[in-house]
Amino acid sequence: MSPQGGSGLRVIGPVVQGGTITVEVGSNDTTVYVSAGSAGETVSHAVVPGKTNQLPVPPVPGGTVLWLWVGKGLNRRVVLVEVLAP
Amino acid sequence: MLPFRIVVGCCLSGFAAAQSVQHHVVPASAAAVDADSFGWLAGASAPLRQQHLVAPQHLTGLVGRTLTALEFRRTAAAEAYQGGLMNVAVTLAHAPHGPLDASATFAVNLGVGGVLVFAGDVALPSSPAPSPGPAIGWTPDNIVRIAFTAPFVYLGGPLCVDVVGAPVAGQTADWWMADAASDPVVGATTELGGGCGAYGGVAKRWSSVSAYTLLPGAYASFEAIGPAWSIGICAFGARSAQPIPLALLGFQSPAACSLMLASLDAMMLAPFVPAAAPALQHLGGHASVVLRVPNDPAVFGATLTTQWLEWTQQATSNAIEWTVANAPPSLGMALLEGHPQEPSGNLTVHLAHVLRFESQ
Repeated sequence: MSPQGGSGLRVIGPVVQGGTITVEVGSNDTTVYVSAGSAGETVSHAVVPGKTNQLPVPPVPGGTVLWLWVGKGLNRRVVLVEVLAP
Repeated sequence: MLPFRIVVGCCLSGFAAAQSVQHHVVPASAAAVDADSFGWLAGASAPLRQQHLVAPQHLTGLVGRTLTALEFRRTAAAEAYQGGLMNVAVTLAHAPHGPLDASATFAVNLGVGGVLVFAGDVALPSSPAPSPGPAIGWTPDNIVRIAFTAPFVYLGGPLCVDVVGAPVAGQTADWWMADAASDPVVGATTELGGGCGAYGGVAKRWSSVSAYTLLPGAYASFEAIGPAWSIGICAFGARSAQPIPLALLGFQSPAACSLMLASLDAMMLAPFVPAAAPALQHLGGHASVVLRVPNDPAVFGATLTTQWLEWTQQATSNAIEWTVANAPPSLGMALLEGHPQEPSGNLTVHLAHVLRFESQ
């Protein structure tokens, strides 16, 4: 499966219910946000400065589109990924 | 005739020594092997400004020399990178301060006397996946090279390398990651709970602080998600031994809202600013409070607790007890990133690109 995103933020591999999201952050942001589509469902995770970050997939139904983003202002980068049923 | 030949020979050898090209990698530990992180490049895929501050201990071999080029080497990830073109302007300056005193405002780090050493298009090479292993060479396929068109003589002290980049339409390289080095020093955070309201998912965890910002010389960044254009109160104090229900204090708050602070040492207001793009406004507002962590032993290991109050819901965030790292990072570099149209950006003192300077 090809990486999704680019331009400083991308997701590697499929995002499966109950699994993890493999995120690569090319910017120097220290926090990545994951949202199940609404502000109320947004949670944050610290970005480790290594190559990849493993984030838990939030408890959402298969088919839900997740919004991942880093940065703020004009430098915000967003990636959309779909959660797959196992 | 012989003395003339000796004089000419000495002159030529001295000229050759003065003109000899040298390469100097910062940090030196990454000269021949891949460092432990990576970073994007200004202009490769998006408008971006990247400013590095380099401590003088990294640059002793360059004092008195003329810097003629700057190079970035790709990270050693096992994937090919598609090439592209970017437009950059590079300014070098003798910085007014070192990386642990760096500002989040670009102009402050440049000081006065900066020299525009290059402006124009730069190629990102198509780069095949490197051989397995940490060793990676500074070969043409692996590097982005910016050859300066104006000289800059490095006289010593902290160096500021300011790169403003813009993508070239149709020739972007969306994932061309340069090598970067990080420092293992990190602060610490402990979640204390107490969150309530409509944000932060099931755990009502709608505020955060990254432990990588809790470093001497960095900017501790306290962030929260809430209703767009509402106001957040970011409170600092000592951790409470017992949760204090907000209702007990007269607030008309949702259930489970609890104050986790035993004292209020400081409070700061911040608006929940929505994203500029209409397609992202359903993600709510983002509030941020940034505090400078001075590189001062007095704050090494210091601990406080932070909790937000969102005004329209009268809801508390999850409280976070946080501790500044016990020592400053030893990386000797700082990286400030931001949008070229904004005067300030995001500063890190634990993470920066691997840089190679060419000099003569």
